[in-house]
Amino acid sequence: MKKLIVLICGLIFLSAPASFAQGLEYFKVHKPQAGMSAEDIMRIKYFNKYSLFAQDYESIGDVVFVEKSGAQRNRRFLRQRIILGRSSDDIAYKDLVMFTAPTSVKGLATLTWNYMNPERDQDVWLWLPSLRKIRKVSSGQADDSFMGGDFTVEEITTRQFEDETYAMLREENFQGYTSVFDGTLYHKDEPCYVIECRPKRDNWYYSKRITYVSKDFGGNILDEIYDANGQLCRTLFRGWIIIDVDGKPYAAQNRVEGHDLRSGHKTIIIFDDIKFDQGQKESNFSEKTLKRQKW
Amino acid sequence: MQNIPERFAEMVIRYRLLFIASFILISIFFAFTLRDLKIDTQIQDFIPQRHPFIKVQESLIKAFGGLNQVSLAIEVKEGDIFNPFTLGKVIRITNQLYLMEGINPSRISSISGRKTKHVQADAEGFRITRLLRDVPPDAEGMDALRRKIILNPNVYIRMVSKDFKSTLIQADFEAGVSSKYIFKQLNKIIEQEKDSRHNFYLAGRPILEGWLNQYLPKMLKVLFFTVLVIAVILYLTFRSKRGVILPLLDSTMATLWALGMIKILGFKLDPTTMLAPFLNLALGVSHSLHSMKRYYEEAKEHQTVLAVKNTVSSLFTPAVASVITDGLGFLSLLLIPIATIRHMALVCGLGVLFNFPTSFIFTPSLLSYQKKPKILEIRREERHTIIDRLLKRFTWFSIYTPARRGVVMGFLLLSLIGVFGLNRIIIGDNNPGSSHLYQNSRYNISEKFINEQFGGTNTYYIFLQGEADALQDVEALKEIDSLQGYLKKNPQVGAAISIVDYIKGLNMAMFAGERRYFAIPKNSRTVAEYLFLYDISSHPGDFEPVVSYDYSKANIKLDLKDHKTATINKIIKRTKDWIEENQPRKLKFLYAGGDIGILAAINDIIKHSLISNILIIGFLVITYISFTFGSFFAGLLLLIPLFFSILIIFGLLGLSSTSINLEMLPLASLSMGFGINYGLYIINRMRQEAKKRRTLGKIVKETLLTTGKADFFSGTIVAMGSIVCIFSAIRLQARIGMILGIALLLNMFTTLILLPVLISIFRPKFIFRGALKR
Repeated sequence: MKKLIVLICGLIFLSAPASFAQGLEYFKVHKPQAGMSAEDIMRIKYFNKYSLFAQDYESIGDVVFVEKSGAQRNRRFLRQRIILGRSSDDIAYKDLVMFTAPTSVKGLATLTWNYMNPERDQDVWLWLPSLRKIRKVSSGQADDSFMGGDFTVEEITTRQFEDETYAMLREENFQGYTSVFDGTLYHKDEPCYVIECRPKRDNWYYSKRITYVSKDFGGNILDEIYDANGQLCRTLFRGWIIIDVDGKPYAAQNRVEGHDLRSGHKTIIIFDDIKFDQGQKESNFSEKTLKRQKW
Repeated sequence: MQNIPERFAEMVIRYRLLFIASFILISIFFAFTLRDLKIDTQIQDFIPQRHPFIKVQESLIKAFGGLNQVSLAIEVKEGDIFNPFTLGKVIRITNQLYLMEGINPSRISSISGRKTKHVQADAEGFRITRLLRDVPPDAEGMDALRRKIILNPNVYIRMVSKDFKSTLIQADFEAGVSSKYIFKQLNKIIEQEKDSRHNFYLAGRPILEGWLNQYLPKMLKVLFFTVLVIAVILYLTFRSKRGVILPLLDSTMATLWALGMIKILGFKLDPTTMLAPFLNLALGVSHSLHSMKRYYEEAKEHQTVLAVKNTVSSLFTPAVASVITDGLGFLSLLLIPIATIRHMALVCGLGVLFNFPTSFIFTPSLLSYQKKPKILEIRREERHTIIDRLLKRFTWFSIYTPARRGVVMGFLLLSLIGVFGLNRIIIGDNNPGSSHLYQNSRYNISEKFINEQFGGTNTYYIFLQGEADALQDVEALKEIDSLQGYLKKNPQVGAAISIVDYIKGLNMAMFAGERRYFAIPKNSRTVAEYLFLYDISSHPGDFEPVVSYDYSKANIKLDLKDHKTATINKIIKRTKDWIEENQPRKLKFLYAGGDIGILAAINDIIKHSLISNILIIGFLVITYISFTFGSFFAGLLLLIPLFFSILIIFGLLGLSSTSINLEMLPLASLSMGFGINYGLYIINRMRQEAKKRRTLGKIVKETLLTTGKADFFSGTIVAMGSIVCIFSAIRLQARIGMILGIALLLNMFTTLILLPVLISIFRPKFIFRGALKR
C-alpha cells in the first residue's frame, strides 16, 4: 500500500503542470528582487531569455550582416516557439525557424526540441524544400556561430545557468547603448545589476563576460565579452520591450546586436510582430509541419 | 679662350673653400636623415604589378584574402602526432593564433581550428562536430581521431601528413599587419612550444620578409669589410695615406647622400636598395682613383693648385661621360616593371650623380689645400709592379699584327661559345622555395618540408567571376568541375579544390554519406540551400576563402608539385586551351593566380625585358658616345667589349644550366653602364697622347700604363664592391653581386685587351685625326 501511494504520488508529480527551470516556475513572470544574489538574478535572466513565462511565442526576424567595408546582407525568418516545460518527456520548449528570404532558400526550415535537462543536447531537424527531405542534424556546437553572425550558438540558444559562475560587481544605471545599425540610444539610465560571469569550462573561447541585467524586468541588456587573454573582443546588446498580455508584463527581446571589435563585423537581428500566447498547437512543431510549408 | 673643362677646373679652385664647407654641411644633413632609415622588405616590390597575371592575383587577394598567409608545420621526431604533447601544442598554437592582433580568424586552418569539422552521415541525417577541440583522453580517442582524419580529404595530406608525423597550421593576417610583427610573434609562439621531441617549420610571405629583414643588417658588416678591401687596393695603387683616405672619403660621402635619398624618397632598405651603398661606394672610389692617379702624374711637373686644375680639366670629359653612361644604365632599369629594381635604379642613379661632385669637386678642392706630394711618394705610386708588366703585355697585343689577329680570333671564338650557351639558357627558378634565399636557409628548408608533406606550396589559382548568385547555378558549377577535372589530369598537379568539392561533400552528407552522391546536385535551388547552410553554420567570413558572400566569385586552387618553367607553362597553356575550347558561359575564368601565376609573370618579364633592356642601354650608350666624340664609330667601338662580356656571361649561365632569375634583369644595364667607364677613360687618354704625335706603340703603352692601370684598379675595386655581396645570406644579393662583379672584370679586361687592338686595327679618326706616326 505504501508503495502504491509512493507510485501514485510519483505519477502525480511527473504529470503535474507546474514545472520549474532552475527553480523558477514556468508560465509565470519573474522579476529580480532587492537583495537577490547574482545567481538568483541570473536564473531569472535565463528564464526570460527563453520566454519561459509564456505559453508560446512568435516573431519575424530580420537579420542584417554588416561587413567591415559597410556592405550589408539580409535574411528574414519566421520564428515560432511553444513552451511546454514538460517533465514527463523532459521537453522545455520547441522552436520552429523558417527562412523566408533570400528567395533562393525560402522555405528552408529547422525544428528544434530543447530539453529541461541541461545535460541533454537539442534535437534538430532540417527541412530542405528543393530535395523535399528532412534530415536530423546535430545542433550547432556552443562556440559555433549562430546563423553565421557575430554571436555564438550558446549566446543565443543553448547557454544555461549551469554553464557559468557568477559574481555581483555593482549596481548602476546603464549608460545606454547606441545602436551600430541605426544610431538610436537604447535603455539609457536603465537600473541594472552588473554581474561578472565566468565559464566553468577550461580553455573556452571567452574568459569572462560582464553582463548588465535590468533590475526592472530581469533581461540582460549588454554583454561585454573578453577573450582568453582577457581582452574585450565583442559586445552583445539586447533591446527589450514589455508587452502586456492579459495584464501580464512579458519582457521580449526586439533587437540583438553583435559587434566583433577585432574584425569590425556586426550582426543585427530585429524582431518584429512579436506575439505571445496565441494558442499554438504542439502538433505544429513536428516533422510534418516542416513538410507542409505554409509560409 | 678657355674651354668648358678648363672653366670648370677654374671654378673648382676659385670656390674650393665654399665647396668643402657646403659638402660637409650636406653630408651632415643626409647623416641626420639616416637616423630612422627603415629596413623593410616587401615581396610585392619584387613582382611586376602591371602584369595581367598579377592583376588576377590582386583580385584573388581582394576577394579571398591570403596576402599575409603563413604556414607552420609541427613534426614529431619519433612516433606520430597522436599523442597528448603534440596535439596539446597544436591546440595551444591554434588558440593563440585566434587571439593575435590583426589575424583573420576565418582564415585559420588547423586540425583544431573552428572551421575544421568532422561530418558523420547516416540514413537519418548527419552530425557535424569540431574535429579536435580537446586532446583525446585515451588511446581509443586518439584512434578515433586518426580515423576521422583519414576519412576527411580536406584534412588528410592537407593538414596532416601522410605518415601522420607532422601537421600543418595556416593563418592569414589582415593586409595592414607588418611582416615584422607576424615574424616576431610566430617565432615567439614557437619558442614557447619548442622541445626536443618536435621540429617546427615556418613559411609564407611574411616569414620570408622577416628573414630577409633579419639578414639585411648583417650586410652592414659586409659593407665595412668592403671598405677595408677597397682601402687595401687603394694602398696597393698609391702607397700613400692621401691615396687611400681621399677616395674613400669622397665615395663614402656620395654613399651617405645616396642612402639619405632612400629615406627622402620614402623607400626602405631592402635586398636590392641595400646594394646601392656597395655600388655607389665602389663607383665613387673608381672615379676618385682616376683623379688621384692623374693628380700624381700632374704633380710631377706642376705645383699643387695647377696640378689639381690640370687633373680636373683633363678628366672632365670622360668623367661627365661616365656619370651620364652610368646614369643611363640605371635609367634604362626604370623600364623594368618591378618596383624594387626601379627603386634601386633611382637610388643608385642619384648616387652616381653625387659621385661627380664628390670625386671631381670635393676631392680636388681638398687636394688643392694639401702639400705637393714628395717625389718619393710619386715614385712609390709609379713603381713598376706585376700590373705594369701585365699591361705592357697587353700593349704587345696591339702592336704586333699576328698578336692582333690572335686576340680577335680568340674573342670571336669565345663569342661563338657564348652564342652556343645562349641557346641553352633557362628562364625561371627551378629550385624549390624562395629564390631570394639559399637552398639550405632555414626558410627554404621549412618551405621544402611543407611542400613535400602537405601537397605543396606551389599554388595555382583560377579566379572565377560572374553575376551575383552565379555560383548557385548548377551549370556554373559544372563548368568549374570540368576545368578542375581537366587540370587534375596533369601529373604535376598534387591536389585541387573548389566550391564544387564543398557542394559535392554536403550532397553526400544529405544522402547518408553514400559515395555516389559525391556529385553536383541536379537543381540550382539545392545548391543555393547548401551554400546557405554553409553560411549559417560558420562564423562571419569563414566561407569567404571559398566563395564571396554574394556568390559571384570563387576560385579553383591547385597544388603543383614544382614550379619548373615547363610545369608553369604547361598548366597555364592547359587552362588557356580549356577556356578556348569550352567557351564557358556562366563564369569568367581568369588565370593565373597564386605562386605559379606570380612566377609565370616574373618569367614573362625576364623573357621580354632582358633582350630589350640590353638593346635599349646599347642604343642609349652608342647615341651618347657618338655625340660626345662626334663619331658613330666611337660609340660602336666602345660597345663591342661590353656586348662581348654580356654574351660571355649569359653564355656561361646557359652552359652551366644556371637559371635566369629576377636578379639577372639589372645585370646588363649595370654591367654596360659601369663597364663603359673603362673605355671612356682609355679613349680620352689616347686622344690626349695622340696629340703628342707619338707612334701607335707608344700611345697604347702610355695609355695602358697610366689610365689603363687606373682602369685596372678601379675595375678591380668596382668588381670587388660587387663580389663581396657573396657574403650575404640573401642569395639574390649574392647572385647579383657575383655575376655583376664577374661581368665588370670581364668588361675591364676586354677593354684593356680588345679595345686597343680594335683601335690599332681601325685607327679611327676621332682619336688620331691623322696625327699618327707610322
